[in-house]
Amino acid sequence: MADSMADDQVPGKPLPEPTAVSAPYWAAVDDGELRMQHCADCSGWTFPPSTRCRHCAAGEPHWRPVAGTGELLTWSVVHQAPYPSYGPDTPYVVAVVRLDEGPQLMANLLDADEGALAIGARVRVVFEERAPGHRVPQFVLA
Amino acid sequence: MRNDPAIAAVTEIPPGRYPDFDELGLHMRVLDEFLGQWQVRPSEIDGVLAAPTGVLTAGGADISVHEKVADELGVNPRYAQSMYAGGATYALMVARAAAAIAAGEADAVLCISAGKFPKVGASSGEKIARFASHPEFEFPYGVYIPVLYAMAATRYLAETGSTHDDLAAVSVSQREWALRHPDAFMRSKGAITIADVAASRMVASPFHLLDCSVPLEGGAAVLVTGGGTARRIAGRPAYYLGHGEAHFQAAVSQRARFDTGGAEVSSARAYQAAGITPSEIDVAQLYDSFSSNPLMYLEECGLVGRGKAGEHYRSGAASPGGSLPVNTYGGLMSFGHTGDASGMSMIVEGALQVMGRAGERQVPRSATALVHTHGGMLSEHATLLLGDRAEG
Repeated sequence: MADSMADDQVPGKPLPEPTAVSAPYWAAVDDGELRMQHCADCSGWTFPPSTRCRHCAAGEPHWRPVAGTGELLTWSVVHQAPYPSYGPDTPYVVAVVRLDEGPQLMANLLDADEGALAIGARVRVVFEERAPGHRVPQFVLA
Repeated sequence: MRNDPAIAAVTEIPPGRYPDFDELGLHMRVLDEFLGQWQVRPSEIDGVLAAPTGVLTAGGADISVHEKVADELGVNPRYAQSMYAGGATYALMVARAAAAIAAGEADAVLCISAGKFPKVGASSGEKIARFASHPEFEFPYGVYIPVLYAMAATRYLAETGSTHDDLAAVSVSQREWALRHPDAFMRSKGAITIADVAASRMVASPFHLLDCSVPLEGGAAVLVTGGGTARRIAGRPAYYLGHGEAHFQAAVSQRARFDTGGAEVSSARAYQAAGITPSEIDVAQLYDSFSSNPLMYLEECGLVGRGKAGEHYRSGAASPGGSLPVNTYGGLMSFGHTGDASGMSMIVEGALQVMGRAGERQVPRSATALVHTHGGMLSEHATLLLGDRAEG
């Protein structure tokens, strides 16, 4: 597996392009915190960010921190990278995780031994710096 | 259905490389082949369904392909549009055409495709990856098409206890079929074994190179008409029995389930529409961008039990001479994947089998064919049922 990139700057990898709706998510991530939108009406979580709750359509759900822990839903160990900035990382793991609060995210699972990957494996968020002051959430096995 | 809609004629140009043709030019090449092969006059065609070109290539999409096809035919259709649902586009075209014919809105609808699948390289790789993933929440993580399908396959293997040998058995069986198809791109490469698949280089686990389809260029045309016209053109046409569709989240990371691809829902709707059961299916054409998909679809379409698809392949039941042949043209993995036109290949083959025109690979009993197609990253699903008699 690739060495951990967490908290090291990794030049060249794609940076997300926040929208007006998602900007609070990325601002929190840049500060090292994972926040998701929560609905006061139905208690549902909405991700990716939206202007309304995806469960009950109530307006403007508010941002709330999540614990950053969850479980591995599925993954692939990637041996052929789609673009050059990921080439040096091969083989690397792309995973989908489900946070304990419910929302699902795609991310890389860093430092993972392929033999330790299993559905339901516990994971926790880490933050990878991709440009000065700009991070993306990643996960490691907990 | 009123007017007994049926596939009256199909033509597919051999998948390959067509450096002298752009995607629109390939459409015209398909038209030439089609009109040369069948006793159909352009003036009989009063409906045109096409798909945008340039979706995966540099330069952007052309969304008025139906107009250009109609112009080339020299007709003014009373029913026409370009439509897009990825690989599921063409099963939906046939369904929309059948509905138009049943409603009396058209008499003969030409469904046409042509596509180019750019090689993954420094420039196109990133564009395709961006197209296939959520640009903000998936793309930044080094994902592209094989990875997104691989995550469904990982989950399918874990849930069913299937192994990479089961995936590889799909590649092996499809190559056997390709050896019987004169136009299959991988025919010249000869037979392969499970060991060959396992020895091919890893792309994204659990997929090795030979678990992946072959990116090529090509195209096809399918003419849907009323039953009377279809019988005149084909003798034995492939009647439209019914279809079902289901459209799920585009972003893979947001799926509620990863071990199924949505065929469960679309096939159930198709069976209900056609008034038939899975036990009546004689031959299946299942969209196979990767080796995992036919396994999932065999199970989801109710053709084998949960977790039994690998055994179906390893026992030879899907192969020539088997009890329920699958992807009898070699599939996208051995016939060839023609980019945005790929969803047409399995319809052409499903129709040819029902029409009794599949040559060396003709299945002895082929009264009823199931065609399952998907688009996006397993997000859009369309199941098409074709038969040698009109729906009852």
